[in-house]
Amino acid sequence: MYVLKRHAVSALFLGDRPISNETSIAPVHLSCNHTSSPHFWVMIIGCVVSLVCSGCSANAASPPASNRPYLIRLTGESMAWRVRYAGPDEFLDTPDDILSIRDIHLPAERPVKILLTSRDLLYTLAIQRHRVHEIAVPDIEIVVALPPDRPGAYRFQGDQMCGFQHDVLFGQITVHRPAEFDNWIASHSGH
Amino acid sequence: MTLLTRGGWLLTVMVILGVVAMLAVIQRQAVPPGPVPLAPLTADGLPILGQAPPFRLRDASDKAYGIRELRDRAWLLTLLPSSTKADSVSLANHLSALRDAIQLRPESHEIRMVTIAATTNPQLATLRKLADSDPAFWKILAGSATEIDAYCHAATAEINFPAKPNSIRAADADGVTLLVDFYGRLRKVYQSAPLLVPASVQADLAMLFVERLPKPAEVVTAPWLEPRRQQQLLSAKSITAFHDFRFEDRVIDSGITFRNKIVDDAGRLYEAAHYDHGNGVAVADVDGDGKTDIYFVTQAGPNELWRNLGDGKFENITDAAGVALPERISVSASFGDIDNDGDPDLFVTTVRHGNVLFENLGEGKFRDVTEAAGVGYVGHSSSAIFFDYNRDGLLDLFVTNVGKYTQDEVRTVTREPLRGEPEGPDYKYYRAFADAFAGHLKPDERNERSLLYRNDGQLKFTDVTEATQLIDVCWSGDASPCDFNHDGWPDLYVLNMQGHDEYYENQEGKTFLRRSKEVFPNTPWGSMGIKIFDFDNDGRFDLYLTDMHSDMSEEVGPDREKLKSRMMWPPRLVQAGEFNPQPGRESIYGNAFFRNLGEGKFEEISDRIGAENYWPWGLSVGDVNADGFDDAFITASMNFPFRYAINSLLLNEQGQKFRDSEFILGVEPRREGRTATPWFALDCTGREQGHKLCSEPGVTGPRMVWSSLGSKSSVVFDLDDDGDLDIVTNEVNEEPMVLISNLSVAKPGLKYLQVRLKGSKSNRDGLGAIVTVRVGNQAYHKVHDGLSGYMSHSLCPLYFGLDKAEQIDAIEVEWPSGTKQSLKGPIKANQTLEIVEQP
Repeated sequence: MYVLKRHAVSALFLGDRPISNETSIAPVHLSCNHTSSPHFWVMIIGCVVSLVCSGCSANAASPPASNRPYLIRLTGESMAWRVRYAGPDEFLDTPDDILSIRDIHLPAERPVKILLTSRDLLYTLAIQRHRVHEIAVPDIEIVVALPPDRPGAYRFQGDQMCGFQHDVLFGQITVHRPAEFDNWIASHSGH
Repeated sequence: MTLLTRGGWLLTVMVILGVVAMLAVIQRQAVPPGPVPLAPLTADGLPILGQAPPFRLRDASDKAYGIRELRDRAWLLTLLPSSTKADSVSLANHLSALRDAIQLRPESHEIRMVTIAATTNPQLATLRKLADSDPAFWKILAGSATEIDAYCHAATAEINFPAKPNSIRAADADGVTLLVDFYGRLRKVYQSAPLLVPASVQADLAMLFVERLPKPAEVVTAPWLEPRRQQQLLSAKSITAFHDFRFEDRVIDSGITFRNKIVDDAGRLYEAAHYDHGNGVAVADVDGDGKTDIYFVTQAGPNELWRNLGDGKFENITDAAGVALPERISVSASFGDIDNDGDPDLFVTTVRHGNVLFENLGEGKFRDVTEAAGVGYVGHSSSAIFFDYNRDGLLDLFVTNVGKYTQDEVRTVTREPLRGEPEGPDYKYYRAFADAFAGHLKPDERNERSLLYRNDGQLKFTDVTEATQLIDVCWSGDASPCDFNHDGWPDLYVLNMQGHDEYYENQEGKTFLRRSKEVFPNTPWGSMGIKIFDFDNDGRFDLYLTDMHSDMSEEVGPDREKLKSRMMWPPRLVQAGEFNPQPGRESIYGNAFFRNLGEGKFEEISDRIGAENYWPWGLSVGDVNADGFDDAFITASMNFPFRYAINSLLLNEQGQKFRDSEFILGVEPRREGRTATPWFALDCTGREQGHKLCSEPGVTGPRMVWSSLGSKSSVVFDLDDDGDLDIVTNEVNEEPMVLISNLSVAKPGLKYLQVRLKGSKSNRDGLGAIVTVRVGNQAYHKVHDGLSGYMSHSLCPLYFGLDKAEQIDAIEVEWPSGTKQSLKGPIKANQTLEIVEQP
């Protein structure tokens, strides 16, 4: 089971927490705008129960934030790396996500999971520091786990598999102290 | 006195110095201009004046030489018509000074000087003497005065000046030199010898180099090639196998003008897809004249059938034979006599244009019987092998399918006029997926089963893939029959180019049982070529596999070509964990050589015997030095956009080791030292400015992109019936190589035997038969499986090198029918023997 579709990956490494709010938050918000619906109160109760359970579960079973992997999605597209960071809500594919190109910023002292994919070609990703050598494939999301790291910066390499432009997919990974990373996230939110 | 004496000494010294200085001045005036500083490369551009007309004249050694030998070279053509008035010393001095200056340039190996003169020209002897120091660089060609004058007129008539000066007319010129670019275009005229100023000519040459875009840059220089050659030549002393002979590429002399043509996805629209695997080449005697003919396959345009005329000459009989298939994107070719009527029929695979079966009507005429035969599968087929899996005497057909690597978008193949490709009908092809190489990770969408067709007779076949349980979804490019369990029923080894190979045992012609894991727990993960033969003459058939994909896992420099790849791809891509999940041992990351130990046991010894090479494709095996041990020729190189890789010729040293011999035997470097060729034209300021290559720094204007050369398929057979084995290749986007061996001349007392089989109860070709030739205590074994090279299945006699044996003591044949036949000796060596199966 190495070929993982997006939602399967989410379930796999987030455990009880969804990667995206597409199936939880959005429906709740939508239902609150329809108080005349016969199902309104049922849904409200459902929402409340769900949120309470979710909170209980998070308090009881979820690891502390520093142990939970921080999420980014790295997508090869048009001979460039596009990076999507989970915003302050720590979920991917939500409105507070942050987007950047080429270089990657990560928090220190916290595991990181990179969801690696592509929108066109096959790309390779090599992070020597963590002995990572992976491929980015369209329609397939591959999970790359990085262990907690110290603050600093190092290079990573990319390439088009069997291509002829070999120097445009290089980039830098900057590992920030936790507070600095939070500031970086905050300062880029909404961009 | 002392002062006087001192003054006298001083005077004497001054006089001597003065004399030396004067001599130096005189000397400087007497000799032609010496080497000048290298001109910087500029891109000012030279006008295109016309096209150099073709010629074919004789060089100093009376060998024919012409414009085809000059392909992909820039050259200076000096025309000396019979009316030339030039002073011979002046002309000779200027040309030799020019030669010296050009040879200082690092690109000099891509430049030639050609001087054309009448045999009656009094300057001819002087020029030939001057050119003799490097005859490959400077060719002095001669012909009759009429011939030379006619060519001079034709060449100068091409010069398309807005106002053509009268002085350009060759008939009354005192020697004219023309600068011809890599594509045969006339770019500059130097109207007389004194105008051949080295610095100026070098600057003009430099402009031609700026116009091209080699990808990568080192494809046109390959600086490692000459040191590699030297190193191998030094090693020759330690090679005990006979190696005092050579191959020479004589494709031009052969008359063969076929040139493979790629689809754009292997060129200007390059995608990492399976189109870059090239095409096959197969041989058989299609017209029954006893000579082996050649069928070349191409992606775009017509395949070509070349009839062997003898003496190394061929004629194109494609149209008469009716086997061109110009509208299809062909892949491979296989000959086999499906109706047992004594002539080879032909099966051609294609990419989504439907596979084709041709029945040979005799005398080299074919008709398409695909539809009635029911073998016109439309998909991504690769090779096809004929074998008789149910031993009913009819050849069955196994077709390997790669997997779905194309999308539904159809494109027209681009013609490249600078490569000499004329306008003509459009050739359509399906564009490859951008992620084609990961297609095996999407099995539900993209896997394609390989197919087994049972021959029911009367030119009818039935798809028995499911009925025989031969369900194989490998991304496979080739396969081979084998009988590793010695039960007489042909088994199948199926290559997987993106995972573990598969091995199926034939259950008495009814079903196939997958036994890969038990018999071959580790295989290469990117298998391309296969050949089963007896490497060490121990009577057991060994298995040699080439692995291409491992070499694309990392940057492999010339120093690492004989080593296994340091696998970089993650296990999920390699997909071998099912067989051996131990990290690092999932697969063999390079070529494999499985030595047969008997009783279903194999030992992988590729590194021990030197079977590794760089970026291999197919594998052809034959005893090229006729010493009784089969040698191997491996086609190699990836073409665009990768560096050049050499073809390997591995001499088998007494069944102990392969010795690298391609440089020793003249297979490398290629003819004229070529490593690259023009691939496609780009106009980076015009309609193609959005092309990826145009975005590179400094890349503007019209450019010609060059790619490394590369062979994909080959066949080893006695092309000219002289008793030794020759080699023919099919290149990607280029003309083939016809490598003619001189062993029959170079090896005194050459001994060999060629065996042609004629089945009666068995299939007519005797495919599947095992032939043993006994000489004293020595036995030579060969299996007649038809596998001649990557994506190719041929019918030609089995060749046994006999070392020094004058005669054969016995020949035994195990026919596919089960008949065992023995011929008692003495049997004369140096003949082609036809053995007919006893009823």
